[in-house]
Amino acid sequence: MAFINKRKICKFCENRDLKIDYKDYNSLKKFLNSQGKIIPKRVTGLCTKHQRHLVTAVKRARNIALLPYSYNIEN
Amino acid sequence: MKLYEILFIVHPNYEENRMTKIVNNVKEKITKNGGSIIDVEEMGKKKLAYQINNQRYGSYILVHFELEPQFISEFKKWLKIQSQILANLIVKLDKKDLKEDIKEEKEKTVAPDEIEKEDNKSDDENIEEESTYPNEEV
Repeated sequence: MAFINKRKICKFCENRDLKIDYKDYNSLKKFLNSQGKIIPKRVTGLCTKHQRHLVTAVKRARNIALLPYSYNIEN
Repeated sequence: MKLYEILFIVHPNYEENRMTKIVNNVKEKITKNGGSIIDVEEMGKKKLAYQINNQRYGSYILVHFELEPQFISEFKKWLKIQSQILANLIVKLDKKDLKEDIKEEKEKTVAPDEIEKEDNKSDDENIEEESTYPNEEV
């Protein structure tokens, strides 16, 4: 059986210049699904450390109304 | 003295002169307690992701400052009372981070093209990964 491991290297580990910042909400949107939930790391391919940083950044952005808590409910 | 960053939203009815007054009030509050202000940046008027106090818009202001940690809780209480400030977020920073931020800003002005390219690449990679994933499991 041919089993090819296609698991990707973490994007933020690969490129050290990329920073996770809660004020940069447009780039954080890539890691949210259509409901506004955070996509798990098994799908995004991030390492544990950077996924953790990402989660805190998203939660900060939600707190200050840069990102919504959910997209479905009309405000 | 520790390094902090505050991001706060000013009520949309307060613009230009009236907004600078509010920003000055915040600055005064910091300097009165023996803190110092490093940097003030206006991020402009933006649409809020959800309504706060029945407001859909607000102008974001970012301030970097140094302050003794014991005054932070008092500062937060004062911010809550202000009716012109809709929301605020205080984050503690490492001194290394700030230096890097300033460097980045200079680099951005030099080469904005490179950043765009990186973004495009990452988009493609994400899409590929999602499509290949279910096959692996089978």
